[in-house]
Amino acid sequence: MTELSQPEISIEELKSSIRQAVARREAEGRTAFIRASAELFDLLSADLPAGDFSVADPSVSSGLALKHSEVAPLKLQSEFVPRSDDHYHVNDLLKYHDHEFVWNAYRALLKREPDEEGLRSYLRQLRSGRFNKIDVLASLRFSPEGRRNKVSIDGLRSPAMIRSLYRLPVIGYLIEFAVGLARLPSLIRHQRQIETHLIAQQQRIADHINTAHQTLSDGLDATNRNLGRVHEQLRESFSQAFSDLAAEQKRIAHLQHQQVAALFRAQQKAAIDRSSLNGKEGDLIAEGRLTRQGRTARGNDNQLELDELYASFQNQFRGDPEEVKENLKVYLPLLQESGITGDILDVGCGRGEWLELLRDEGLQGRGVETNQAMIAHGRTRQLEMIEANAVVYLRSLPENGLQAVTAFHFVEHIGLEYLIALLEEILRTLKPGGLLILETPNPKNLVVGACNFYSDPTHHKPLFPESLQFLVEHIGFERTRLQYLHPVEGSPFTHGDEASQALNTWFFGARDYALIAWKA
Amino acid sequence: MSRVAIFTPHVTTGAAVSSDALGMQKVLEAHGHDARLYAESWDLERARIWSVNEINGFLTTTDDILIYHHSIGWGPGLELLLNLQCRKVIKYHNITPGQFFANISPWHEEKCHDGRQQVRAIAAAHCDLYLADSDYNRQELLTAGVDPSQSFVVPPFHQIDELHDIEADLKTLDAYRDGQTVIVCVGRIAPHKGQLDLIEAFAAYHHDYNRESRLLLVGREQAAFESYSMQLRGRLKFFYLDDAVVFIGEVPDAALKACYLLGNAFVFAGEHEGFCLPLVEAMAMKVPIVAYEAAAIPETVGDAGILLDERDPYLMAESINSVVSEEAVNVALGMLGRNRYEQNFTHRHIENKFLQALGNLD
Repeated sequence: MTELSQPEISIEELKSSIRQAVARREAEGRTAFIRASAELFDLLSADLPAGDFSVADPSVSSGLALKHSEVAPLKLQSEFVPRSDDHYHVNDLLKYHDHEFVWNAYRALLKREPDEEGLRSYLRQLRSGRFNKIDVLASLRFSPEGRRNKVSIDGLRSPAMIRSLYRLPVIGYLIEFAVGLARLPSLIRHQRQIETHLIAQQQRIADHINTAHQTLSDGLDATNRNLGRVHEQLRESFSQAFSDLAAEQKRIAHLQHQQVAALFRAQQKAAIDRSSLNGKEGDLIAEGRLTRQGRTARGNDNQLELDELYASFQNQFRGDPEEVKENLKVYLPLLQESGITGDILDVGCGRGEWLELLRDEGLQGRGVETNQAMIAHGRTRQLEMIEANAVVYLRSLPENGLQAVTAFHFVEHIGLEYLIALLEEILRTLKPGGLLILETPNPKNLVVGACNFYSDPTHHKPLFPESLQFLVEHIGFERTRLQYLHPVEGSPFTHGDEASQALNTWFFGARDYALIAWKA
Repeated sequence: MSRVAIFTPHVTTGAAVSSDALGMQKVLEAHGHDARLYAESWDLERARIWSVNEINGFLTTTDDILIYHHSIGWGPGLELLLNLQCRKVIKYHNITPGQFFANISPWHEEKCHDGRQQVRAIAAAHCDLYLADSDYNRQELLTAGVDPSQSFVVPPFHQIDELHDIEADLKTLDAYRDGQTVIVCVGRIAPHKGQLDLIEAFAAYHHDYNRESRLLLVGREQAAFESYSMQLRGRLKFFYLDDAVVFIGEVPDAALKACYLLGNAFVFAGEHEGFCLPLVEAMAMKVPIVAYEAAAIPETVGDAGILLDERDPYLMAESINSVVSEEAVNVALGMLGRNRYEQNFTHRHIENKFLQALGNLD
């Protein structure tokens, strides 16, 4: 071990400078791309509940329209209502100003809206100060048109008269001066009133602007929310469309798969039919698993003898039935975990140890077997055994009907093509979530692979664990795993060093292994 | 000399729990005990492993010892633990909360949920000793009701010494030694390992700091997490990172060593870790660490790496940049990591802690 000196570095300082750098980057807007992309990605890929979304949802379109502003137009002067009795007091009109004033004066005194010319001319006079409001009223009232309309207006005549005196040469000026002097206090009072009035009006204007602003921004917020909702719904309906599309594709793929599988089965069946018609034993039959139908009457007696021979051979080599049963108990928890209660098919059930174990556990199982001697033996123990070729029997079963299919020391008896046909049929007949267990000798134990395997003359060839696993996955099973079983007892290689471990594995490792798989 | 049965559901390569169980067996054997490893299933060929069914015949006296590794929901294991009449030691590796696997793998969601529930039953079983990979795990045991005086932190055994002794895989070295910056992350591809967030941070680093960079994701992809893997790949495409991120998969030790040697930084965004062995490997291999603070990670890394208390892609990208581009920082962090490994996590340290803890049995 080398001693290293402790380097001089402060992680805290480093972290704080990193934070500062990120903050700078953020302030410069240089973090936007990934952040926005990440958000967009999340938005697009979020899982959406299924549902019928439609962009044409009426609640959306009505929600979209910005409501009319609730702020009434600002009126600084009260509305003028012409009197039906044509009787006014001068103050009724004097309270209006400027444009409003001229307009209302026309409507009151001449009972019509002002003509362009008149309006402009009066406004000019008023704004230049040459006329005051009394002058305008008098001029309208005492014009030929005003006289014809005969509107009575109290309090106009005397001020109008006085104002007409102002227009007298020299003396008019003196009169205006004297009257002005006399009215000075009242003018000052008016002045103050106007000031207060103006300030109040300003306040009203400010209030009005604030209210309008508030209403507008509320409206804008509502519009944004509505746009957000539309966006959300669009996104949802797009996602829905995408997932519908994916589901449809999956469905089509499934149909295609079924068609191909049906074609394949038809082809296989035709091949078998053909070979039995020809009186020849086809490839499948040559694997040693004969169909009843395939047997000729002449061969039947021979076959029975052969079956009896193999049955007694099994008793000799497979081991004591009680011991076999004990070993098979390792699979019971697997059935429990997978929630399997029955509909278990044991392919190549032999003497029926597994079926017996299932019965002991209260589970319903049946076996398929071709060896007549073993079937006869099994039936004496009331075990349900069907005498048939495994693949042929499986083909007779409906889809998705079995909870589990097991085959203990069976697959090493058959060839590859038969194995593939068997696995395909098992996959078809298992329920979704159904369990497959295949147990077979483990050739990785060299003694098994090189010697013991051949103790059974009906063994075809050893199956390499990972190859079998690959095959099963390839056929379409899911969650496959290998379980190594039955290591040889009494290994002399118990030391932990490499050589001992290797020797132990080669010679005292698992004698069998199981491949466990589930249907998706 | 005692008979010791070390007991775990499944033994496999590259899994921390299996390394720990195998390490314990070696140490106990070296100290003259008859230690055997029992499992329900295994895919190791080069180790002697016994089937769970044979455990009853081995642990026959009340002096015998059972060491039960708790890392997933396992009903039969728990039952056996409760029924055996011998001295019992628990090694708690923590269990990922099931919700990480929601909509990804219902099986994992259920098993992990069960496993976390079983912690209480295990605590109530009054075993003789409770060992935990980290103080984080130990605190969970204490919350479940374990007596503090019976509970000790023992980091998991590992194969880092072997990693030092072997030669790195030349093919891997050649494939990625082309002048590009290499960011390494080791850990199986799984939702709680945070690869989604890691890819986001790497996207920020790659696009905004250093186009000449590559992320190597070392670790097994499981069929059960296929939808998560798909999600990761979708995100890679989205961020235009197809060519910059490599799924290396599960590799032999020689290739793993090559990845560590190539790494300019080890970056980890996992959200739930009871210990996190790859962090220790990175420290031992002097690769500077950048990770988010979560679960036991701060405890494992200590002050020997940059730990971020906020999950932010730019914070991580900037950290990677500072570790990669400033040589002094890179070297200093590498040394800090190595020192931390030497002082806390060598095989000798773990062995001492393990034996010391077992000493409490008498």
